[in-house]
Amino acid sequence: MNIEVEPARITFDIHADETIIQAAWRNGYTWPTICGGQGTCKTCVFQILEGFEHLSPVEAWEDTGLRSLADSLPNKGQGYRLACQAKVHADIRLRKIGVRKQHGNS
Amino acid sequence: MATVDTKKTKGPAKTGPVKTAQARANRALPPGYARSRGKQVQELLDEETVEVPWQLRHSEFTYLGSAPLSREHYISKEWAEREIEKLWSKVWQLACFEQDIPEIGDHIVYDIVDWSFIIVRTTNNEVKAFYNSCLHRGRQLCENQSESANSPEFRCPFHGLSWNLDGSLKQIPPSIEFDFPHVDKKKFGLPEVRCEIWDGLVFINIDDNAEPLLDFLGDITKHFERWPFATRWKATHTAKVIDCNWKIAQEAFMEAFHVLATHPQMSIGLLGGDGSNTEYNIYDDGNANWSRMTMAPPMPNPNLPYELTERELIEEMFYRGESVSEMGVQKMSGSINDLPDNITTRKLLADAARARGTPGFVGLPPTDMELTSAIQYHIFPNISPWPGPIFYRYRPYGHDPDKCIFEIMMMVSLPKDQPRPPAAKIKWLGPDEQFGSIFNQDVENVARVQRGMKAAKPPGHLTLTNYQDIKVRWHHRLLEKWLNA
Ligand code: FES
Ligand code: FES
Ligand SMILES: [Fe+2]
Repeated sequence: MNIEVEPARITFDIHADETIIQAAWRNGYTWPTICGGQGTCKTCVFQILEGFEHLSPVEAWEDTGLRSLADSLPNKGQGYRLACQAKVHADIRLRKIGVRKQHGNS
Repeated sequence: MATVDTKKTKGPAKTGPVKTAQARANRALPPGYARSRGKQVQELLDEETVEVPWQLRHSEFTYLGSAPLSREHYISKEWAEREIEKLWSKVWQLACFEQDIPEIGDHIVYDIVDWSFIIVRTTNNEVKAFYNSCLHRGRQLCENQSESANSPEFRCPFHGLSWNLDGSLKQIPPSIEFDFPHVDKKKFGLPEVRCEIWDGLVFINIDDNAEPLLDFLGDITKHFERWPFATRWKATHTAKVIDCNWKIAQEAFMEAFHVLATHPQMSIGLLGGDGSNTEYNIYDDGNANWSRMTMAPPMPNPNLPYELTERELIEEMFYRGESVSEMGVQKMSGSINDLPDNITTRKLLADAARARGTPGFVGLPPTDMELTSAIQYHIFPNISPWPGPIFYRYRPYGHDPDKCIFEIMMMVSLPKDQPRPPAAKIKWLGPDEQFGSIFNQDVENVARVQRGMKAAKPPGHLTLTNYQDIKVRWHHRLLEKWLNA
C-alpha cells in the first residue's frame, strides 16, 4: 500500500499496522510534529485528497484533537486527519506541506 | 500481526535545527537576553526596501528578574478590592472614542466597577464627563452604554429634574420647585469627572489630583503620530463577559509564544510560525505606562522542529485561497509559478496589502513589517492599541475577580478623502456566541487559566519566562506600584 503526499509528490509504502507518520519515518521522511506522535500537538494534521474510505475510523483520542482544530481548518476540518493516529487499508493521496527526505544519516 | 502502539513509538530522528551558534551564544548571555533562533524583528527591518520609521527601531527592553508571580493577583477578592480602591479610582482609562459622540448632545455611558459616567459632547471641541447619578434621589440619569444617544438636556426619568449638557442645573419642574428652597441652583450642577482626550480617544480619571493624561501616556503618543486614531473609523465593536480575571484575558494578548500550542493551525503553514520570534519591548526600564510586542511576519520559523520553506508557505496560501494571520484573513489568488524565485511570504503579503490601498500612515511609506506583522501596544492598565486595525479593552466585571468584560474593536485607517461612516455601537455577545476562530481558542484558554490557578497546590506561584512574558511582568510590577502607593 502506498501513501502519496502532495504537493511534494512523495510516495512511500505503508503497512496495515502502522500510522501514516510511522510509515513516513520508516521510509526516511520527516513529518511536521512537536509531540512526536502522541496525538497532542495536532501539527501532523493533513488533508485527504483521495481514498477517504481507505482510512481507519477516527477513534476517540484523535477525535478530541481534530475537534479542537475544526474551527480553524477549511470546511470545519472535514477531510482532515492526524497522521500520527490514522492508519490505512489501501492507497490514499493526501496533502501536507513540510514532508521531506530526512537530512543526514538515513 | 503485532500492532504498534503509537503512544509508545519513538519519535522521528532529530531533523530539526541543530544547536546553532545562536544556542551557544544564548548560554553566554545574562538572563533575559537569550533569544529564539532565526531572524529577529530588528534584523527583518534591516531588509526593508523602504526607510524604516523610527518608531519600529525604538525597541527598549530591560530584564525585570525571574521572580514568581502570586496567583492572588488574579483570584483573590481582597486583591480585586484593592485594585478598585487604588487603581480604578485613580488611573486614566479609556471611556469612549470621540467618534462615538460626534454631534453636540451626543453622549454615551462608561461604566467601571460601581462607577458610571456620562461622556457628552458639549460643543464642537469640548467633551465633558459627569457622574451618572441624579442629585435628587440618585437614579442613573443615562443607561446607554452600548451606543450614543443625543439629547438636548439630561432629564432624570424619576422626578424630572434636568441638567444642561454642560452639567449646570437646567430645571426643577415648576410644580415641585417649591419644595427645594434649600437648593442653591448655581451650585446644583452635575459633578464632573476628569476627562481628557488623546488623538480621538476619550479618557476619564476619577482622581482630581491625577497628572495630566498626556504626561501619563508619555512617549506612546509620539509613536502613534504615525498611526493616528483621530482619523480612523471604528468599524466594529464587540464585547463579551468572560469567565476570567481581566488581567488573564489581557495577558492572552501580551505574549505570542502560546501560538505554538493554542493556535496550531498557524504553525502548520498559515502563519508559518509559532510566535517565538516576537520582539517584546518595555520602556524606561519598565516604568513607562506602555509597552509593545511585534510578532515576526509570516515566514518559515527555524524554531520549529520541522522545516517549512517560503515556497511551501506560499503554495499553501494559494491552495487555500487565503492567508490567515493575526492580521486577519486575506484572500489570495495566483500561482507560485508566476512569482520570482526568491519571493518571501511577507513580501507577497505586503505587496498584496499595498495593492489594496495604502493605509493612512503618516510620513514614510508603509514598511512590510507594518503591513504584515501584528504590532501590539499596551497602555496601562487595560487597553491595547495597534498600528493595525485591532484595538482591545479589558474591564473588571463588577467586584468579581473571576469575570471580566473583553472588547475587540476594529479601528480601520481609511484611505485619504474617504468619508468616515458612523462609529459602530457595541455588540454584546451572549455566553454561547463567539468572537471568531483565532479568538475562540484564546477565550477558551483564559477561562481554564482562571480555573486552573485556583486549583494549584498552595502557594500556587506562577513561573514566568524571562523574556517572552516581560509584558506580563511589566504590568504586574506597575500594578503593585499603584496598589502599594
Ligand atoms: S504528531 Fe502531534 S498530534 Fe500527531
Ligand atoms: S504551558 Fe503555559 S499555562 Fe501551561
Ligand atoms: Fe492567541
